[in-house]
Amino acid sequence: MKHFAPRRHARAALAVALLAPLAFLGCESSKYKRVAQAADGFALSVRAFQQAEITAHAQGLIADDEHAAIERALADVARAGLALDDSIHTAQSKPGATQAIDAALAAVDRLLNEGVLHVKNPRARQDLQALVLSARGFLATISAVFH
Amino acid sequence: MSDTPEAIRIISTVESFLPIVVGLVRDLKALLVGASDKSADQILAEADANWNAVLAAAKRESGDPT
Repeated sequence: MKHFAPRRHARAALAVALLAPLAFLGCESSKYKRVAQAADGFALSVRAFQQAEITAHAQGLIADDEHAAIERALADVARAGLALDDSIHTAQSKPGATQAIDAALAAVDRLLNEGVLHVKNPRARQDLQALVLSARGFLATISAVFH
Repeated sequence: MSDTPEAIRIISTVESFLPIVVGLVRDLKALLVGASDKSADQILAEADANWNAVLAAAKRESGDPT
């Protein structure tokens, strides 16, 4: 049985997603910086997810059609992430960022529902699902700081 | 001694998780130390660089040039 190898990326994504919000609570930096850190954590965790997915595909754990669907959804997540960063940069604490957060959430949910959950290999599906959910956690952190 | 195989299984499980726990702490420390000296704008610029890398790889992997 093949094992899902990219444990380091999965570990890094889970680390920042599960522990970083706790660390932010004790941070004395500005609200803007806290949001920026969470946005960077979001980008890092999605990048780790992508590296893990590409490795799993190379190992034969993810079919070509599943891989293409996931990568197309990832492109949408990346565009939503760039728009979110731009919104944070220009609007900072203004409500305009809420729309960008919602769009990013929708893109992540599409990645999960139209890509990851269709992966047939149960081990790969489970690991990738955990990584997507960890990335989603950063959006909750951003939303909480804004509101 | 019928519990011995179960005990070995539990110990092996704990043993396999220890490096992951150590790695979790190390990764978080690296994230926080690295972010503490940077401005919010610098952090956002790094996030943008990560997104652009994700976008480029996604286009390459999916065969979608758009």
